[in-house]
Amino acid sequence: MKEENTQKKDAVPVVWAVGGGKGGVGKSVISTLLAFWLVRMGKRTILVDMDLGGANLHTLLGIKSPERTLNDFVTRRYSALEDICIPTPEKKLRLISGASEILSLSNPHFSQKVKIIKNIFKLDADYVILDLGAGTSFNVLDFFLFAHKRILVVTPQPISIQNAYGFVRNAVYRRLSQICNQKPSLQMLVKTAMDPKNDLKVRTIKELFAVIEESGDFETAKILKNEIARIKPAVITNMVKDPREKNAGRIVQLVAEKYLMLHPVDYGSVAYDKQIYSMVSGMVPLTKLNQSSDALAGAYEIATRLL
Amino acid sequence: MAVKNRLPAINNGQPIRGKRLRKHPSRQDSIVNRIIDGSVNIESEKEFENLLEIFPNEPSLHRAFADLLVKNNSREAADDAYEQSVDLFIEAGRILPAIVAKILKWRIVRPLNKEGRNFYAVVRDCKFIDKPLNRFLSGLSYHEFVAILLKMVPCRFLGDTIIKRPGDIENYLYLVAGGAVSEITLSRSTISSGSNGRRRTDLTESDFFGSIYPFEQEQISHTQVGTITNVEVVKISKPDLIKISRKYGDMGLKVEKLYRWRDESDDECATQIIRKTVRHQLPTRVYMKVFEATAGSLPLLIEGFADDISSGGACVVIGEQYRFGPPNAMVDKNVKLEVVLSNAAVRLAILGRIVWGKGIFLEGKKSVAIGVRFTEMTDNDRELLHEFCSGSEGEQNLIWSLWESMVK
Repeated sequence: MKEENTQKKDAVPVVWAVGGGKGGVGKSVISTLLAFWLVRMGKRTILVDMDLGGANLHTLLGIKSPERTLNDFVTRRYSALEDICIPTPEKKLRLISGASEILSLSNPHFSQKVKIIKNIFKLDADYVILDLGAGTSFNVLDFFLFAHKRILVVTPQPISIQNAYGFVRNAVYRRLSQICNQKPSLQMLVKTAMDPKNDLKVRTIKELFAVIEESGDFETAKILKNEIARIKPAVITNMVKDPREKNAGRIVQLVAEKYLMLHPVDYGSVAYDKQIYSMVSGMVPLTKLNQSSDALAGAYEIATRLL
Repeated sequence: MAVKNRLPAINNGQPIRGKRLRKHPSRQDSIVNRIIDGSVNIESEKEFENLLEIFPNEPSLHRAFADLLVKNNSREAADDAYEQSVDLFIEAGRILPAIVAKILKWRIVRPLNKEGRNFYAVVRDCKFIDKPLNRFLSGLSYHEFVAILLKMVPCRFLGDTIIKRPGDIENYLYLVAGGAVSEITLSRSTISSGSNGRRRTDLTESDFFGSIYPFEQEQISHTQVGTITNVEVVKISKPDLIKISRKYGDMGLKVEKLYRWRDESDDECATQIIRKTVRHQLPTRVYMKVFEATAGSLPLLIEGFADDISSGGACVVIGEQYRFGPPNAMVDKNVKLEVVLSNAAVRLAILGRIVWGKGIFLEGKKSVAIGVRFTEMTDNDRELLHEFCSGSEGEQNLIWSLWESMVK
């Protein structure tokens, strides 16, 4: 038994990041439903509310006022993320709340971000799910990129699809920019390529790689291609009311394949569930969700595929 | 200003032959595109210049400006504006609109031989959008190219106009330079039986129609071609093509290839699910304070949506309920815009100046479109705006095309 415990502490948790660009697409609900299934499959799971400017994940779990939050970690009141985990009504599921009174935490400094990332890997859990905030700020993208599994939530609305695609697009360029940070000329090229109306006429990632190869730097081009291929987001279409709407995730997949040389995987859909909507509006914890919920069933299919 | 039929714009990307276009696009069509396609006319050179400052890289806008300058007898300025549009069209790989703009430029000042050769070299080396017509044009020899250009006749048709009917003698090759037409093919049996077994194909920029090859056969049209939008086509008569091919032996084979490539490209397109749609820009909610010149007077508060937004400016559409006299009465007024971006939790606060104003019809309602040039914004807002505007037109088009074919 002792040996088992030691083994658990040494193992790095598998990190899933749930993003999507747009607010209101159900990132927190999806994060929570996936967490429910992970714990029911026996996985010790920690949900982390990374919406640092507007954390609300605790309310979905029926926690009114979290006693410890990420603030306490960043301000060094606690030295380890492990110490700010709080229990939830679900056995084996813990929460790190992002509830923030310090507005500056909505945009943490580089050192704060690195500290959070390092400590996430030290958490004593099998799985850590990061519920990312809306938008495509560098911080959100960085938390998305460092995860083992990058989950993109999209709803069947054009704006959501555009935002989800924009999110992936920015993530790709962010990654490229990070890799090239030791090569200023290359980094400048990547930054130029990000502007869709750039003077170099580099319109796609493919064209960007072609430009790099034309300069004779085949090795860098190869490294960049491999890095981009590794991003491979898992796309989930949420709030589906009609079978055709399941294709929303497929759209992100197709456009990303064509323009970004990226191969997102369509992990399926979660049905629109009126019950969830009322629960969220009424601040009723999702732990009380009816087990026959279609959304819960959809999340189960996705969780098993993601494992 | 006149408002005509609402039209989808010429697509900057790669329009796909063989799919249906929407005849009445939704309000997401960009105001700029409506100016380009002629559904909204701007008759003031000053307003056009202001618009071009906001959208300096839109070739069709330069072309529309050049047309206006010709109309106003400003021939020298028109010559420059045509040249600017030619350069931008070529950069975008859009050979046919570039050729049309060049022909119109050469109508103002006859070209020197050197200029013709330079243009030919540019077209030949252009990284063109891969369409049969572009392959054909860029594959011509210099003499063939000149011969073809000399015989090209640009013409414009309004929306809902029939260009060619079944039973007409096929006497022209029509090249679509802008806008969209539908070609309805009736089989012989269909014509005789009067049944409804017809196939409709929508053609856009750099597509072509008219069955004039093989040259030696007189052909009767089995298709009806009508305009969906205002359209610009270039026609070349069959007798002219025959003359050219007699003079330049390879021309016949090249025309044959053009038709063969189109048939092959149609086969490929049949397996695709993507429909070509017009360019869209998501409408963005905008709250605007218009400051009066008189000191002490309160600013006018207006709510609208930005139909087109870039880091340099925006076209804002506002409802008729805001009555403040003629639309151009707002020109030159300073404004503070609060732009609600879907990708940002905060509103962007941008200072700007109104540079043009136009009355338009939108979804059957009277509205006003105003152009605002941005003068001041914070670095953070600039970054957010850039992020919002990022994503090329091709990416946006593809998302919308897929949305329409897969979800909507």
